[in-house]
Amino acid sequence: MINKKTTYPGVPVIAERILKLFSDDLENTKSGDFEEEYNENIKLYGVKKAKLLYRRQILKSIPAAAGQSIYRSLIMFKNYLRIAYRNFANNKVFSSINILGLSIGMAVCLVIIQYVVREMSYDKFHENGKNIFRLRTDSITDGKLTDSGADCVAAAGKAVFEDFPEVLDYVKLSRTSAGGIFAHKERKLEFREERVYFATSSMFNIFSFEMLLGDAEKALSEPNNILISRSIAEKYFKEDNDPIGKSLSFNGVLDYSVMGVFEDIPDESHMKFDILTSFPTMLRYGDWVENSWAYTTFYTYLLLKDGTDPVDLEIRINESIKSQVEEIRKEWGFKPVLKLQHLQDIHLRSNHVREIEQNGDFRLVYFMLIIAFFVLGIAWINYINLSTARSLTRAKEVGVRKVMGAFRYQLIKQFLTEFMLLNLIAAAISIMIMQIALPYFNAFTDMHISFTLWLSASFWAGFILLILTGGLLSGFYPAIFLSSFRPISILKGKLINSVKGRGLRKGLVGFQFASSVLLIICTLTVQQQLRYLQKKDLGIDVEQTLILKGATVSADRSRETYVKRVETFKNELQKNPSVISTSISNFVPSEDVWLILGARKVTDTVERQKEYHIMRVDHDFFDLYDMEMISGRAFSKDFQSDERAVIVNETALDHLGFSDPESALDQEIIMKNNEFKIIGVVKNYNQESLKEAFEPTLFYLTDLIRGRCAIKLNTGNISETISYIKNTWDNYYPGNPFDYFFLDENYHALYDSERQFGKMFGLFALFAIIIACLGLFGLSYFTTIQRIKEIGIRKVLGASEMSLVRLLTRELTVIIAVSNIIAWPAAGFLMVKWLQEFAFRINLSWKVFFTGFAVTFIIAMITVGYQSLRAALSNPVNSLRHE
Amino acid sequence: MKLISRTEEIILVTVYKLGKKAYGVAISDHIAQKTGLNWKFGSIYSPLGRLVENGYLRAIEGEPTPERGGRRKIYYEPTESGIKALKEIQKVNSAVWIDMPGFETEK
Repeated sequence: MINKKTTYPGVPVIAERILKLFSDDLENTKSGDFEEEYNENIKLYGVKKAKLLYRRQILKSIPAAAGQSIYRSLIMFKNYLRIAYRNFANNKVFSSINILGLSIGMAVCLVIIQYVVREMSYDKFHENGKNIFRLRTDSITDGKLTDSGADCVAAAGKAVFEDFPEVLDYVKLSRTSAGGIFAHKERKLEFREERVYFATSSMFNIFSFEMLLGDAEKALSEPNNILISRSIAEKYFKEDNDPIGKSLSFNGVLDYSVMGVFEDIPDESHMKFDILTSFPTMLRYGDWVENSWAYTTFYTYLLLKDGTDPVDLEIRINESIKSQVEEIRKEWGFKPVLKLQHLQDIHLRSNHVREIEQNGDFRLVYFMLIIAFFVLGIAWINYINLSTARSLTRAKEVGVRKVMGAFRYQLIKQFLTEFMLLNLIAAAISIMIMQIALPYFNAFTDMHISFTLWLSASFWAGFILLILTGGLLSGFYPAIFLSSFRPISILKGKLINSVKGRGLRKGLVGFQFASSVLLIICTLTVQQQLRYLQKKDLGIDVEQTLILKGATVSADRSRETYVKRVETFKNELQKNPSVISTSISNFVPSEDVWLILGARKVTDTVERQKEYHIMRVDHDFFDLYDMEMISGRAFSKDFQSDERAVIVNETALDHLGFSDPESALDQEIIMKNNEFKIIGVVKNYNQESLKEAFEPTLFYLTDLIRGRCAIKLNTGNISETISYIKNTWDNYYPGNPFDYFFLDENYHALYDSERQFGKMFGLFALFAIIIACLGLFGLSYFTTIQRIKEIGIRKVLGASEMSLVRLLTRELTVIIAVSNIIAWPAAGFLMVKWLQEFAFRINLSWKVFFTGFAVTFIIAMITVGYQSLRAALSNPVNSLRHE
Repeated sequence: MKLISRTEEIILVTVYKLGKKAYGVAISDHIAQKTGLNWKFGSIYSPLGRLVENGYLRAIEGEPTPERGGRRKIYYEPTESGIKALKEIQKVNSAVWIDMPGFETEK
């Protein structure tokens, strides 16, 4: 028999190797055919042509060979499946730990993917999406950024559109005074609508919101026209299918005609509106809405030409408005700087003041993805650890298969098949878990995740890809490991050294612990911060306070009658013994103060002017909220001069440049060209969420406010009092819907998204830890089984039970210690990042880190200790009898 | 009887005709000579494999030769059921073709 290959010179071996990749059963003998033909061809046509023919022969053989090998592997596959099934059924601890862990992990993953996909899909439905940019304004005073708004100065949109050819179109929206009470007079339907904007005519050309009826562009270019959403149309016009041309009255003073209906705005839009009023309607407030370079609150969007560089454009825009900016600086003290922001960055990456609505946060999305990775990773690690740890049980099978002629790659294939099967079963179960658990999950976290990804093909592709790649990655090592045994040593009955693979197992268990510790620390810190947010003293009293949304429909045509009505309304409320006090202001605490004006000391130049939040309040305001005056006094009816008085908070005091509260008293400041005298300084309190620092705020007195009416109640019969208030309201302000909320609830609601995040985080962290524990339980189960004889011998030789337990758990203690040391800095880093979001925050406490260690240590000791104790207590006779 | 595929039929017939000399290269050459079909090795291995599996052919290892890089030839030889199958195929084929009207001759 000739074993040595006597290859003729120049056989292109590579082509043959490629063919072998596709074909299992191309034995040496057969591929000899290729070489024989090749040598024949050399004689006939010469080497060059022969090589060409050879290659062609090989390449064209691939499809048929591959087909054959698939056919063959299917037969083997059936056998693999059968063996896999027997293995699962045989070892229930192993398979249930794996399937349970994997399916929980995948279910968590599915929820997170759903959440992430939704967060990422914001504003992706616009056809022009990639070319739409938001133009917004930063205000720079004295070289410092004093205001960074999501909105833009009034004149910028049009100016930029006219000056730059690459700006194809623009739209300007404003919410100022746009919302109010809309009424259908004939049907006597009146509702307060808040998602209302003035909009210029290009709205629907730029954005791909769907018009159902009417011509949007035409409607929005004439005054007193409105477009309404489908739900609004149904609400006001009910079965009337054609609302076009009908009218709705606005605040009882204007009649708007409905000129179009659009489809309800999808959830995945950073702006949601119910009614659009044509922008020319806004001109009744003055022509500053068209051409002011100082007044912001105009949301402006530009449609750019394909391929425009936004960075470059931004520079050129600011270059072009230099003269206007200089004028503004002279008159107002600040410089507006225009900024471009990509539409699709707004939802996750924009956190300016006056955002249209609370945006998401890409950091939270990343946090969630990290958790998904950990949870699933921990489950996969369980498989690696368990299958290598119990390799002894599979060793005989490997030996027999090898003796029967199985190649190593076939064994690898077999083990991978098994793992894939495990993954598929887990995937199927995870989808069931999702279906069952999702409603509970939504109720618990107060989210509205629905499993809509069912319908998307890309989701399935992604999910399957995830399972395949993850499965391959984690299944590969065990497959290689298990298939590496030498049949001779196994079948001779030689004990396989289970030391092999132990280093890796230790590392992986360490990883599981490190991620568990990380998740525990993060969860606890998030919870602590949330508790702090709810417990922190706001500086004001917000309990038992009911807030009425103001009356905007009014019969009063003069200031006198308006003020009188307010007075008598307040007095009427006071008659009820449950009402302690009432106060009217333009904003109540917990609301964003969007009214911002420039002010300065009389003695300062305009360059020193800064911007201040403006609260317009009445006499009872400071008393009702129990605010502390640190110097001077609150507004009082005893002083007629309080009409020209202002109260400042501590931050404003600082911004105005006063050194201490006493010295500020009786000083004059200039605001809107009027002079005001400071009569008091109020202690800082948290007007907005604790994410925000204290804003400089000025309070002044006015009786012409239509904002909010706060009513302080005592703990009487709340519902009776509310119905009393409602009756009084209906008497004094007919035509105004009675809308109210409680102040403490409103504060509470400021942290809804944080609470959701905290709950999701906590829940998923819990799952991660459970899965890790499952794995640890399984691992210690198998390792103690393997060491049962060692334990028996040690016991016979006189080892005590405690010393045996110590022996079995010592290694784990080291792993836990090391993984804690790794996890602590990582967790610290993540949490410091997260806490930076909040102006008011807790300090990271060492207790949290210690708890992370303690929890993992105790859980691990319980799981492993139980197994060890059982092994240590067992009678050595049982384990040694067979030797 | 189980009908085998057309490809398998051609290969089975070829192997029978080649007698003791039926192996990869020879089969492929013969088919090319007789029919002009240029079948690649890849596409004759699969039917050969199936024929062996179904018991119509048996494979016999020959001697290694230098022009094959020291590898053995695999000769194929019809088994009894292979020959039986051939007979039946012939019967079926001629039964099908016997009353076939002639094609109209083109000019």
